[in-house]
Amino acid sequence: MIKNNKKIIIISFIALCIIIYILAQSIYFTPTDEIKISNIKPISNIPTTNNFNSKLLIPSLKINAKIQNVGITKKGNMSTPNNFFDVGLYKYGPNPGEKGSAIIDGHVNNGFGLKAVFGDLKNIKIGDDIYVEMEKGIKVHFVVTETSLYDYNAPADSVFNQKDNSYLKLITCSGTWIPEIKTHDKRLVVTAIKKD
Amino acid sequence: MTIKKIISFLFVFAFILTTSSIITKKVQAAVVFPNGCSSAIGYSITTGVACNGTSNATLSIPGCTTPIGYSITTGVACSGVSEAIPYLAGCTSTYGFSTMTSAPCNGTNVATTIYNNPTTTPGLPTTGTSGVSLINILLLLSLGLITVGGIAYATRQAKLV
Repeated sequence: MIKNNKKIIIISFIALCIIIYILAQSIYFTPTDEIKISNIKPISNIPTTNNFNSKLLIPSLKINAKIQNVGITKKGNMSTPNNFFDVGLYKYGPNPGEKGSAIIDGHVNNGFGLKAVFGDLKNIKIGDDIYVEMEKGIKVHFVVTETSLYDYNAPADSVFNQKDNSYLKLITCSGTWIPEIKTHDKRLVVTAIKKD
Repeated sequence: MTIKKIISFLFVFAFILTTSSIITKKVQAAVVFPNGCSSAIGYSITTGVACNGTSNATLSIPGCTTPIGYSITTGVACSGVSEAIPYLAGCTSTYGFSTMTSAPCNGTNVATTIYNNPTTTPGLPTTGTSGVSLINILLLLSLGLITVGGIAYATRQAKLV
């Protein structure tokens, strides 16, 4: 009887550990396969310290998210933040407010299909305000000018390389989930221009 | 005794659920083509036979420039079989060379070297995980029942003793 009890307790403990692991992966931690590039320095340099972390603010969607610096995955795609609450600034592109396209991405949903930081990005409207708090109290103001849908594997030149103004581009997943490639078939790209 | 049976049943259910997803992944990754073939398209570079295993080789699939992924026009797998290949054999990405065949991992004649040049444009990011939500919920429910049932059973036994 005692042996049986031990077995059941061990099984219950293992099940509990798996539950904690699944919960952590689905709600908080989302691993990325970002590669380290030692020979090239990032272009963007925004503060992400404990004292002050840059933020993305979209009042109309009630988004107030910390910004992480993100690079490139081993597949050559822009990487993503390592959780579902923060957003990621492409560190090999310009800072928000500088000439060119500053790219910020964020997750649309978590491992339970619940809304993540950009879960409501599809509801943004042309003319909406976006702010990036670069330093404590100093915000760069952008206004949404366009929203577009791209195929997940579409060439991204027009997203990353628009350089005739100071752009901020927000990217998240959209469309239908494709099990074979474990991603959605579309990407929503919101373009905003710096307001002087 | 009944609780024990229920716990055993739930554990087996969770085990089957977990292993079936792992097995599915392995089956997806286990597409094997003849020697000298990286897909079912064209002819073997070592033996010269058709890579699709028939006497008539499939030479190209509309909408495909490499054997990787799906046709952009028809949506069929570019590999020439029903299942798309994410990477060629011996490759973990489309960069560099295959560790098995030494062929370029991008499916063309010229390899893309390992990504170390951020001055080139990266691909769009992957920012959603909703497709795995159902299996996560099922796993959590069954494992939760195992845990609660196990604790309840152990507590009851302890009281009896």
